[in-house]
Amino acid sequence: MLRLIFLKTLRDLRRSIFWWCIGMVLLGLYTILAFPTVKESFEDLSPYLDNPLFKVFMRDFSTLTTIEGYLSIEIFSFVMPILSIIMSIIYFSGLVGREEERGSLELLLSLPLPRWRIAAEKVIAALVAMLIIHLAFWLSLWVGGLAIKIEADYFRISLAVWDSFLLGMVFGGLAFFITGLGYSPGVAGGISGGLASAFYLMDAIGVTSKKFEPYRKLSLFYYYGGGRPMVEGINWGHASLFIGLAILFIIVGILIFQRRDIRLKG
Amino acid sequence: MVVIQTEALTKYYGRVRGVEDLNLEVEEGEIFGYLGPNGAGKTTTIRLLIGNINPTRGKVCLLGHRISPHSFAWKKDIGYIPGELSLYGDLTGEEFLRYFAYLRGGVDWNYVKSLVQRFDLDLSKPINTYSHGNRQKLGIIQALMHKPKLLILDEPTLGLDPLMQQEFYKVMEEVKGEGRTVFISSHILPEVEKICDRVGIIKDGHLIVVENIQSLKAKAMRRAEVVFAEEVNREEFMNLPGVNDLQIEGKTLRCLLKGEPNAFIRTLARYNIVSLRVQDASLEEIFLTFYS
Repeated sequence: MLRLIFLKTLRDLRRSIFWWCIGMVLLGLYTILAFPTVKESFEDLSPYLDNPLFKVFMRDFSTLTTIEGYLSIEIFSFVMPILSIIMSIIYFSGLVGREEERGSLELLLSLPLPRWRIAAEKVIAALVAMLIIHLAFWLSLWVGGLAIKIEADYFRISLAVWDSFLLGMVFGGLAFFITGLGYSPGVAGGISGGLASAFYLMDAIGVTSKKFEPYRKLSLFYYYGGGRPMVEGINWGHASLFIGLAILFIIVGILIFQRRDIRLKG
Repeated sequence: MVVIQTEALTKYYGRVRGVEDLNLEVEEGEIFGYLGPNGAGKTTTIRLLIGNINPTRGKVCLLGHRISPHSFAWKKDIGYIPGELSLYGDLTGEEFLRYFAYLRGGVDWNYVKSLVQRFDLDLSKPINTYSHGNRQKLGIIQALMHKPKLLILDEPTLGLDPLMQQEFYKVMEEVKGEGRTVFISSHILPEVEKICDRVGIIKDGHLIVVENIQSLKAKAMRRAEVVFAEEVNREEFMNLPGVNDLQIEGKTLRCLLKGEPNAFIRTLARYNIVSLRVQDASLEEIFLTFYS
């Protein structure tokens, strides 16, 4: 029974959550089940480890034959943060934006509910959706790892998933903030996605070039741990930065949405 | 009690005019028709009333509350149908009504059932399988289901078949009978003429007239057609006060009368009259005179 906007939003997202979970579980299982086979091939790559381009994907890992090194390269350096960012931008840009675009927000706002509550319930639903998908991904690594008897610290692996989730939330929060200003989900997705790409490039170039290294700190990817949380634990300073930015974008987005004109359908 | 009050209400979209200096009062228990052609500012006015857009200047008070986009408590007493009704296509009619009922804090479901029966709507189907008319019926039911003190309706009968339109008019009469207030925008002028007590006509963003329909009609031109027993002298009628658009064909005289018709009647009395017909102008004719 739909009694809350939160539940209605989760219901709207249910098919998307299901397919994201399927995709992420398959990705997790495929990656971890392939580890024993790929581990042997890694031995042959050791002569190339000093190549700077390799460092973009490897980060600080020199040992590719460990599960942490493997997951770092295969998943947490590039694939996982990008997927988290895409997922988050899609969910958060659509919360208010999609409903405004199709015109149903006009009627929803005629109900005796404060606008901030409508937006906040939607945000919480998207947050839950993101958590479910990330949890499913982590579970797939855990179950896959148990199946092939890989010894790993699955709690620390969960910290790497969490780090990726938080990075995604910053760009999701940004997309929400942009739709809060009244822009369409398309514009919000474009700006947030473009900025994420720019930050990634800025960080990647900084890794390979000493000249650009100082600029890495301007990129959010610099503060993203990649696979490091699996070895060093999460950097709470960096995590706090992500949490703070995500909350800031969401709160400011809600405050602006609270007062702004609602666009007509189309 | 004044239920809707606007003071110098103005809305600009950048440089584009929405409405300008709108001063409007709607009393409790009346059905107020809001008329105007496309782009005149009807929907802008309604969206300002409901608080979905901010005025550039001026203010709106509904049921004694000053309206702003972040105020909301007054909305429990409002029923609203937007001009472009968009519902949740993946929900069934019943799921949609129950969802809105919960968000409104609960409604009398027996009353909802009675409305559903009157509007002959199948609530078990998903909304995306509904025809345009059935979606409109669902919109009407959601606006009425909590028995609001004020209904703000933007083109509510759009897409309804004539039978359902009649049912809607009956419901509006009942709403009025219960002392509730309706603010209705419509392009269907006979509908406005049938159900409204007063009308406001908006042109280019300005409210150009607010009038009781009967007095509006009384002040408006009436169409007269007189058939005489013999031919009449055109010059006798040409310069009479209040006589416009004079046409004489054989023994038949046609004209438009405005104001007191005394001079016209005294002149008629000099002749033998076979038949005399004077028609009030329809709201449509009055509306068109404002826009011609």
